[in-house]
Amino acid sequence: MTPLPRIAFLAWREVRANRMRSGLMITVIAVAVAVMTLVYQMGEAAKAEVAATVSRTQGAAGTLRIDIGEVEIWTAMEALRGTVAREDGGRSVPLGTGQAWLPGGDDAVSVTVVAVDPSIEQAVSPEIYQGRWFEGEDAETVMAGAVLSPAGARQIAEQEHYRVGGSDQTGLIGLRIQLDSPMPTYVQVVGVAGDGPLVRNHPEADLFVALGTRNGLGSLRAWAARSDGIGERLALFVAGGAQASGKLETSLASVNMALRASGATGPEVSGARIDSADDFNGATSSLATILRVIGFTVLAVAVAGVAIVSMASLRERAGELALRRAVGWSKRSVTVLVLTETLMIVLAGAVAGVVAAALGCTLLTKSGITAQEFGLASISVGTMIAALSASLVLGASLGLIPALKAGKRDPITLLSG
Amino acid sequence: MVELVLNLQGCGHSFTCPDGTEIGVLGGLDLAVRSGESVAVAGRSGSGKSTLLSVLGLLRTPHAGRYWVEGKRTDTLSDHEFARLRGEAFGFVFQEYLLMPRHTVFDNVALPLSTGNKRAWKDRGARVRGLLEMVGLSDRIDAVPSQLSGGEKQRVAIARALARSPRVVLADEPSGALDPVTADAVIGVLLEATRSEGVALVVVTHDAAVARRTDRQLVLANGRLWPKGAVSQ
Repeated sequence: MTPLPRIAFLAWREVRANRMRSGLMITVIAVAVAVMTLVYQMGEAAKAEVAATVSRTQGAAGTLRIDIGEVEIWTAMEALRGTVAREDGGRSVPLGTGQAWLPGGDDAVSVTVVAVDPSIEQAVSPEIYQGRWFEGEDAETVMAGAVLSPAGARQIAEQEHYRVGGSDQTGLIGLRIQLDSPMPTYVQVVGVAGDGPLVRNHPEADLFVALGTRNGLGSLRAWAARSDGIGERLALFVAGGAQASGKLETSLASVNMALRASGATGPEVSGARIDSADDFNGATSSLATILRVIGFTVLAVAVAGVAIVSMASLRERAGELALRRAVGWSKRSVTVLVLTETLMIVLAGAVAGVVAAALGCTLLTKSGITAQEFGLASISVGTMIAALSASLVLGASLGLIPALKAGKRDPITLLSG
Repeated sequence: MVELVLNLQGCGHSFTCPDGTEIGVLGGLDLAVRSGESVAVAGRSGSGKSTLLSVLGLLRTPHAGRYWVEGKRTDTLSDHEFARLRGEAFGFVFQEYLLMPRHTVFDNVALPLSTGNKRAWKDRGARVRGLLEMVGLSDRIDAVPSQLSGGEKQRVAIARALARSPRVVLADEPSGALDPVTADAVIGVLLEATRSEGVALVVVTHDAAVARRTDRQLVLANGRLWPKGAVSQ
């Protein structure tokens, strides 16, 4: 076979000799690659943006879950019953107060978590069962949650979530009861500070109490100090951002200290992270994939166009290709020559397209027509490499068809007879 | 003893028509070409001259017989070896010149050197210039075919055929597209160039004037080669 460097040299000569056609094909590829690069970059930027937001609001590994261990349940329940009878006519007892940030809302609202003696289920307003008891008049409304009897809890648990606020506040908030114990044993509170929309659809996002942000930790301590009699286990979910996640150990130590100070017994609070970031990243990955497919399709159409032009030009080059065969070129050498020509055109177009995309972004940003919101402030190296790789792979795939056809050119056609 | 560069024995070739009928073109044909010899092959249209040339130039494998090129049997060669031997042993001159239209005279003449060894490729500049001087076109080295006359194009084709120092030049109606005066000049260049390079020449031609200038004249008829005069044209 003719040596590859020589074939590459001759392919370059061929591309240069056919300036008009080559230039046109390079331009088409460049435009397609520029489009693909920008679209791809938008997808990647959106993905990175959401990942960063998730990391910022939920911690690098997602939602932080803290389980407060067993307490002396019967003692606590007896004490609770007495409190309930005294303070609320047998209906409820405050467990703690704190601040919460509603999904989509910037202002903190006061939160009071109350418990209801499971033995006095009948005294609880039907609204509680229907979950409407959290409803308030505005963002400043004091809200409350409850620990209910198994039957009441079951009823509420079936509803899964409660809504709070007026028409402009439709975020999920409330308590969720798990019925894995004869007594009300498991209360989950999901806390989120800021970036409410990100957790609006979180399946655990019932009540937002911040941990590690604003006054959330303080309110948690206060809550924990009073909550030692509430259940066998009480779990507090916190999605308080990277800051809260980063303070997991500190937070747990604080909670444990608060529990001990309140006289609670039982195992210490332990913590674990629940990776909810995947949910969000999965959604943006889908978006990025769609954008990638769009970009790749544009490029594929352009490269297919180049392959079709190459195919059409084979007729014009029939004599030349047959001549190459006649002077000793093997079929494979001719195939490699034509493929190399296509790859050179595609590569030149791809480089031009990437450069054009990068320059375009820079110009847009400098001219004040910022592309930041589209993630187009700059083209990342990864995107450039992806664009060039995709171009070459497509060029090699689609360019192979005319190349193989060229290799089959029979030199006998050159003879006059 | 003069070396045999081509030795074709008992060559037979036929074509199958679309209706399945077989038409024999060559049958039991023998031809031996010596180094530096020039041979003209004449014959009626359809007598098989181009088929013979394609067999001689390793563009086609005969259906019968044996063929040696520089003593090497060709019926056992792979496609790759076939292509290599074709590039090494033969130079081609075609009726329609077949120059690469967008490439310069230099690139056209240097084309066969692309399959040569490293040294030949490296020294192609000097080789091409020497050949263009030989055919009288040293001042047209940067021209493209569209800037050349028919005679000049054929001289470029002759230089290209000799570029890789082949053992044989196969010319297919080299003067067929030229006026008589230009044809005479071009044939003169072809004969002189092949002689000065010590290369054998097999030329297929209708032109008796061209045939007369070669060492040996043969006529292809009934699938075989005959000495001139042995067959009535």
